[in-house]
Amino acid sequence: MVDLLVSHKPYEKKSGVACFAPYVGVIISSLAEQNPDTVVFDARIDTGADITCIPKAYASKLGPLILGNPITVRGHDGNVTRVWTYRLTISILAYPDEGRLKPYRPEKGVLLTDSSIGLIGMDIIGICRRVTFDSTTKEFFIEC
Amino acid sequence: MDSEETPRKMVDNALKGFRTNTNPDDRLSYAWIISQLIEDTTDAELYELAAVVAVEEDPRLRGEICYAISRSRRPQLVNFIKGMAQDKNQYVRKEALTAINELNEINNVKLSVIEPLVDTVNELRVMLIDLQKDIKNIQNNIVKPISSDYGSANIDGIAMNDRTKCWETYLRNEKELLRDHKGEFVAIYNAKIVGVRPSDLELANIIHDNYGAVEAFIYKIEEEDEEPIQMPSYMGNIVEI
Repeated sequence: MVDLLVSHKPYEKKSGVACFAPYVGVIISSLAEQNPDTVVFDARIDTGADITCIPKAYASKLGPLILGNPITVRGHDGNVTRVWTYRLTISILAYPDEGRLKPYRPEKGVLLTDSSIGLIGMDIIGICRRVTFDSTTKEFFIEC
Repeated sequence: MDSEETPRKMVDNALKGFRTNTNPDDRLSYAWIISQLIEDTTDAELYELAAVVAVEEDPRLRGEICYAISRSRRPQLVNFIKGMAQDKNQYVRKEALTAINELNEINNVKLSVIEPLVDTVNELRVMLIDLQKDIKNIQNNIVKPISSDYGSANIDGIAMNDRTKCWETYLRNEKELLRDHKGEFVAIYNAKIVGVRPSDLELANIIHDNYGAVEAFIYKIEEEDEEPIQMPSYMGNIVEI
């Protein structure tokens, strides 16, 4: 059954970002279900990111985290480094019905960054059934 | 004209040849030269060579490094050859035991101390595999080590932090895990395997039930993707907690 998780959500312009872009509300939580801590923030849908990136400032509020396999990344400066991944549950909030959400647990884990903006990368986008960007209305849709 | 080949220069050339050459016969020739000029080889160079050779496929190279270390008369390198005393190849085991005996005579170390150290030796062997990968990558300018990977603790002269120890535990068991549980997840806490399950969620709950809210590891059991992940410029810098 197709679940239209996000429907007619307008692009938004965030502080410090030059253009309007698709953002979803996300809730991050520890992988362990017994841990009740959660953090809510907006993250940008980014097909240019191979892996989901979470601002460290939000992730650190969850307490000790589960780490995942280290991975090799090449930064924009060309430098290649080995970094740890973190295992989190990332739930995308439905729109306009924000009472629903769809949880994801990226198999490769996520990266933490010093940015204030989270990026939902291809590891999550790639398992959605359909993501549609409507350039005419400046809205987007996510089907799961 | 400065054409004289000093022993030091010969060591430099041999090390360079060893690092850049992939042919086992050539590498063995370079190892022979280094063995013969071992007094002109520094501890760091010998450490590096031993770390690389310890995981070489060619048993002649592993045997040769045992011989080189025994000739070096540097007992601090005995840990490298302790692991090779359990090598799958008989020639390597023989060379390793001969070298250990040589070093024991120097240091008056009893062979009986080796048995209780088997666990440590096995850990060192796997750590060397990881180090060898890093050394190769660094030599090829592919990877720059980040400081947090090689942080705090110090085991037999090689720095490791808790995270690296957990990763080392995974690598030590990787072969068996890939054989028996490929595609599943393994949980590691305090450098010990806590469980293997098809679900990372189940493992996270097991960790929380047994140890509370702690930093632990859940690794996907899979062959590592050699291709680096590209990071867009606007995403900021990758950081760790």
